[in-house]
Formats: sequence, C-alpha cells, structure tokens
Amino acid sequence: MKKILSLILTLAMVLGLLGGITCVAGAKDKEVKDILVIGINSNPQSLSMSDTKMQNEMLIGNALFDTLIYPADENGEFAPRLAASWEWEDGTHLIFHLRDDVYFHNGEKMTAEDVAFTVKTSCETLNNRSFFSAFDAENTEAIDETTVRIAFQYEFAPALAYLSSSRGGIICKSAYEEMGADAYNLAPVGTGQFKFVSWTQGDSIELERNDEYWNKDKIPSYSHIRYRIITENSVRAMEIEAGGIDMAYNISSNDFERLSANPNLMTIAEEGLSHQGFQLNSSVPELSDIRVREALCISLDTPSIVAAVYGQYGTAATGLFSNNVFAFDELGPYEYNPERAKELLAEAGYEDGFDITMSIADITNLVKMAEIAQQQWAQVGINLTINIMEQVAVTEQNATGQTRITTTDYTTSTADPGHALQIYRSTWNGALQLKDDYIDEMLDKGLQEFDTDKRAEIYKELQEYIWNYYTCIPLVFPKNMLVYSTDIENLVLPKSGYILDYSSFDIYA
Amino acid sequence: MLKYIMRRILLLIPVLLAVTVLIFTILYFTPGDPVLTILGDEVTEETYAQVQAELGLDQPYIIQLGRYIWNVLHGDFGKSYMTGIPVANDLLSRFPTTLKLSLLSMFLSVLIAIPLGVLSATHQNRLLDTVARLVSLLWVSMPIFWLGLLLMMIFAVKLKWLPASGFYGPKYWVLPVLALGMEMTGGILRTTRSSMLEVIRQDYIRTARAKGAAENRVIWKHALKNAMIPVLTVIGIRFGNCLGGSVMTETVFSIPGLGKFMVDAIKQRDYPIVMGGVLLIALAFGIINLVVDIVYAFIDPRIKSQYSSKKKVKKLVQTAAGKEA
Repeated sequence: MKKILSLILTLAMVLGLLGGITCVAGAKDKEVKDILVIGINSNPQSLSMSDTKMQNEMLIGNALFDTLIYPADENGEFAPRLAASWEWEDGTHLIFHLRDDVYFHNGEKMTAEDVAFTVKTSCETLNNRSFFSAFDAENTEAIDETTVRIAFQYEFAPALAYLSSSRGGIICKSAYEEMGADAYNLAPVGTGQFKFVSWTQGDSIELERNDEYWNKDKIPSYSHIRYRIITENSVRAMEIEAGGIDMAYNISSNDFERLSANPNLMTIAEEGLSHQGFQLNSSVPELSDIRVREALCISLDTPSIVAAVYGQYGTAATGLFSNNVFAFDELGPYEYNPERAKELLAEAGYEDGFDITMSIADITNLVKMAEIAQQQWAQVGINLTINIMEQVAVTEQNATGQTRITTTDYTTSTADPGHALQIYRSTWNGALQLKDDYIDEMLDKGLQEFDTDKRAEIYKELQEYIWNYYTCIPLVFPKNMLVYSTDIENLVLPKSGYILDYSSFDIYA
Repeated sequence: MLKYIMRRILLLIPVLLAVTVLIFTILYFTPGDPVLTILGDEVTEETYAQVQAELGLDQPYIIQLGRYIWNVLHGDFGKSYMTGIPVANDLLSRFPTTLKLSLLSMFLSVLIAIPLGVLSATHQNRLLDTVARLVSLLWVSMPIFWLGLLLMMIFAVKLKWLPASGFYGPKYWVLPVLALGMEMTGGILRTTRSSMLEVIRQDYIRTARAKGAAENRVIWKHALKNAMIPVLTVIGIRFGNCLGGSVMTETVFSIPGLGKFMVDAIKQRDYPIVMGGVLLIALAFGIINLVVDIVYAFIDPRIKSQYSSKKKVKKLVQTAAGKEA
C-alpha cells in the first residue's frame, strides 16, 4: 500500500514539475497569433463602404478601405490618410491632393478617378445617398491623376467630418464597374490593411493582411481576421469565455459583469456617440398640445430609469445627443415634477388623464425603460399601452405617421451635430413627423457655417429650441462595451466605440 | 409501385402551387413594408417610389403573384432585397447545413429512442420503464434554447472539451446534434413504447412465443416490425419539422442553416427568401412523406399490396381462385 502511495506521489510530483516547466516556457516566448477572431451580432448586408448603414459593416469596412482623411483629435481637426493635403476652393468645392503610392488590393493604382467615382456612387446607393445628400455628384471630378475636386449642393461646413467617417472609404472604380454593384458589395476591393478573402453568409467573413499596404508603419502583426456572426448576445459572451473568439462586441450588461471578473478577459465600457430615448409624434391629436408633451417629459424620473436598466453601463442623458458630439449643450435631464405634470394635463383638458400607445421593437433595454416609464406615467394618470412589434412594423408605422410614442437608438457616427439633429428636419420620415420651418432653417444654417464658434452657437440655439419643444425625451448615453482576450495587448477603443484601428494592437498565442 | 411513386410526385405540384399562393398572400397582407426596411427613416416619397418600382412592389397583388409563379417556373427565385444575392444560391448553400444537422440529430435520436422504447415496453412498469419515461418526459419538455445554453456552459465554458458555437467540423457538431437529437428522442421513445405495448399483446406474438421462438427474436423481429408504422410516421414528421424548424438550435449554436436564415428574412420582409425557403421546405416535406410511405410498404406487406396496380391485384386474385378451383 505504502509503495503504491509513494508511486502515486512521485508521479504527481513529476507531472507537476512538467506542468511548471511548460508554464514557464509558455510565458517566455510570446508568439504572435496569426488570426484575430471577432464576434459580431448580425450578418452584414454589404461590405462596400459605398452602400452601408450597419455598424458591423463599418467595423469590417475599416479593415478593407481607407478614407481620405481621419479625425486627428477631439477638436475637430483632421489628419491625412489617402489624401496628402486638401483645401477649400470656395464654399462648395473642396480640393484633395492624393498620395501617389497607394494601390488597391487588385493591384490597380488609386487615382482621383476612384475618389470621384466613390462620391458619385455613394450619392446613388440606397444606404448612402441620404448621408451624401449634400454632395454634388455631377460636378465632382478628377482634375488630374492625384487631384480631385469634390463639389457640394450648398455650402457644406461638416464636409470633412462626413468624408472622414467610414462611409468615406474609397472604392475601386474599375473593380466596381467590372463586377457590378451587388457582387462588389459582397466581395469588395479596397486599399485597406486587409484584403477580402471569403464570406460564408450568416456564418463568417475572412480577411487576410495586405502586405503591400502603402503605410508600412500601419501593417498589423497578425495576418488574418475572421468575423464570426453570432447573433445571440449570451452565446457571444460564452464563446469568448470558451476561447472561441478573441473579441466580442455588443455584450449585454449582465454578461458584461460576469466577464469582467474573468482573469482571461479584458473589458472596456466607455461612453461613445450614442443616445437612446423616447420620441413623441407631435402631429397626432393627443400630443399636439405642447402642455401634454411637457407633462410626459417631466413626469419621468430619468436618472432612476437609467440606474435601474443600465446600472453603471449608461449615464442619464443630459442633452439631445451624446456629449461627445461637437457643440453639445447640457440642457437636462428634464426635471422630475409629477405635480406640475398633473397641473399641465388639467390645463390641457385631461384632468382624468388619457390613454396612449407606445410602439416599440423588442430590444431588451428599450423595453425595460418603456416598462418603468409606464409605471411613472401612470402616477400622473397617463395610461400607456406598450405595443411590442417587429422592427419593420414599427418603421412602417413611423413613416405613415401612425406612431404616438416610440423609442430611438441613435449613433452620431460623424460626431457632427447636424447629423445628430437631422431627424428633426421636416423631410425626415421618422416617428417625430415634425414640420417646423425654424428647425429646417437653423439646420441649413448650421451646415453652411464654416466658422466653428458660430456653428456651435447655431446648434446650441437649435438644441435649446428642440428641448423646449418637448418632442423627444432623451434617456441614456449607453456605454460601448467591448470584451477581449488578454492575448490582445495595447488595444485602445476609439471614441466612436465601434471602429478599430487594426494595427494599434497585437495578439499573442 | 413505380406508378404510385410517380403519381405521388405529380401530386406535389398542386401542393407546391397552393403553398406558393398561400404564403405569398399571407406575406402580402402582413404589416411591415420591405421598401421602408431598406430605406429606413431617411425615406422620401421619391426614393420610396423608385425602390418600390425596382422591386416590382408597385404592381397589384395578382400581377405580383402571377409574375412570381411565372419566374419560379422558369427557375428564377428572385434576388434577396437586402443583399442582392440570388435566392437559389443562398438556399442551396444553407440547405445542406440544415440537412446535415437534421440527419445527424435524427440518427442519434433513433439510435437512442427505439431500443430504449422497446425495452421500456417489455419492462413495463418496472424501474427501467419508469426511468425511461421520466427521462423522455424531461427531454420533451426541456426548451431547446435553454438546453443548448446549458450544454454550452458545461462542455464549452467549464470543461472546455468542445467548441461553443459554429458548425465547422465533427467537434462542432456534437453539442447542436445532442441538443436537437435529445428533443426528438423524447417523442420517438414514447411512440415506440406505446406502439410496442399494443403489439406485444396481439395474438400473433403469443403464437410466435408458442411455436418456441426465442424471446429476443419475438420482440426485435416479430413485434418491432409490426410496431414500426406509427414510429416511422413520427420520425418522418419530426425530421420534416427539423428541416424547417431547427431555428432555435441554429440560433443558439450560430449555425448558418435554413431556419435561421428564413426567420431573419421574415423579420426584414425579404419576401423572395421567405418564398423560396418555404417552397424548398414544402418540397422536402413532400419527399420525406413519400419516402416514409414507401418504407411503410417494405415493412408491411399489407400496405405494399395496396400499391400494386388493379390489374396485378386482379391477376393475383384470379390465380388464387384458379388454384382453389
């Protein structure tokens, strides 16, 4: 018996020693891993930045494409990328001088023709044309091989912010024309750090490093990226715990807490460019009276709603859009005053309160906030019915003006207030159904003002006006949540919260 | 027999046509507009009209339906509204995945359910039976979503034996097949048990025993063969359901199969995909039913004789009569 015991002990010691040795060896030679696997939450519809609207698409697009310029800092300054320099010819014409050493993944040289073609294409595609509505496709032209003139319909001050966003990625004219739009969207050719390899619909997208990338300092150390489409939030969280993916986007807050405690994982939660809240349709009879809308706004205790639903992963919204957007004006939250709300309702003829419906899509946090609002509104006599529908049905109701109250979840990807406030324009066919000349006028003024201070002034005035119009109840600035493996080093999450600088970090096996 | 099969295949045509009309009509009248889904809030009257015309959705209902049927007859299932990929390509790339998942799951569940069902019947009301019934009840009533996450938690996150999601090779197949197979097992097991219980009380089983056949032979050959008809029906139906309805399994394990694809398409009102997918599933269901019916014939000679042509039956009767005379 003793012999057996000692044998087992010896064996255990030897094994332990071996384990120790391998551990030490593992820590010593840090081998660079070849592939970065990222978990995303939906199947993109197009990978070409000339026809895109989803954040996932832009995340991948940033690996495949380069923009002319990129935002250099938070003060609205821009740095050169594909463009070496640029200048305004006049208020409606912007000249870019391009680099001479950039080649597309198919080996063709990037020229001014490609830039002009990108603008023209984006003015036409379904997903980009509204974003590019200020651009003048007809008069945008290549002057010579490395000089391009981009024209605008009217004086367009935020032009650089628009061109520096993901949608400004330069596409390859010859490849696009040869393949046709549909095929190009599925297998795009860009100038970016990574080349497109394959896309298994609904499953994964594979990219491989572009070793010929023009900016030698920005060539990543890993050679491949695989984006895995994992639609369930909880499954994505488990997959990163199991080590199947290296990085996961859109993690829900309850999973996030668990993952934060995992020693093999790193988590980042930072405020980005998004805001969420309720929208009121002021064109329907129940909500046409401003007193009723004000009552709805001030009978909600925003900080308590946000604390209950988001905890530490969101802050109560203090304005109409994210505080990281230019010219943000801190106006709120609306002061919680149920007594005053009751008075306002009585003045408007609703002493006994009234019934109203909220139409929303089944998005967990938005539904939770709606449910708390339902209770708080009930305190002042407003009976809210929450109608949970499919997103498509909500969109249809919004566009046809039938929606009373709905939710909004908006990301101002350009960090430009004109972009954030465009939903208040009378031509915007969303839930608000606003038709207000002053707002339209101010929005136009803001777009055309080149002086930064004056622009800020215009937008602040406009924010105040809209705030006192009581048509939107901003609730929360949700944090961007990213989880990644400790194998990844030096990762910094940029302000937009979603788009990565692929060469800024390394990944080790 | 061949004539019967041919007739059955021809019968599929009106079925598919009816399915097309039905689904097209339901989709047409369901709230939610694909044009608005594509354009979002940024829609203007002009862009709306343009896209609507591009997709052919500005035509009256009957013309849209007629054109769809006409195109399908010419092998054109249309393009996805969202991605522009031809529907046929997408369906054909996803169908094999779903088929593989369904076949493996069915194989697993049959392997477990039939022997266990038979043993359960032969050991009626004893411990084995009680345990089998309990387990099958548990499997039937466990939501697959929950079961999938549980399996993932245990085998992928805690033990790290298997990958959590995806469908890239045998190692990846284990968990989804286990989850879906278990769900199917419950139903098949219970049907096998009740069908066997009925059969082993029949006179011919008593006869088989009386003539001295070994117990194993009586149960596994005489009884099981006779008990298989309802079991086969259940397997056929479950398999058909799997092809179209393994959405949950596909969603939990991030498998790019047909079910998940169609549910996403329904959410986006991507009509061509929904239509094409439903047609494919209807066709698959029709074929499975046919196969099940043919297998019946091989198991049960009484059914086989029904398929024989009238002439043949007449001839058989005549020869039988001749012999008697």
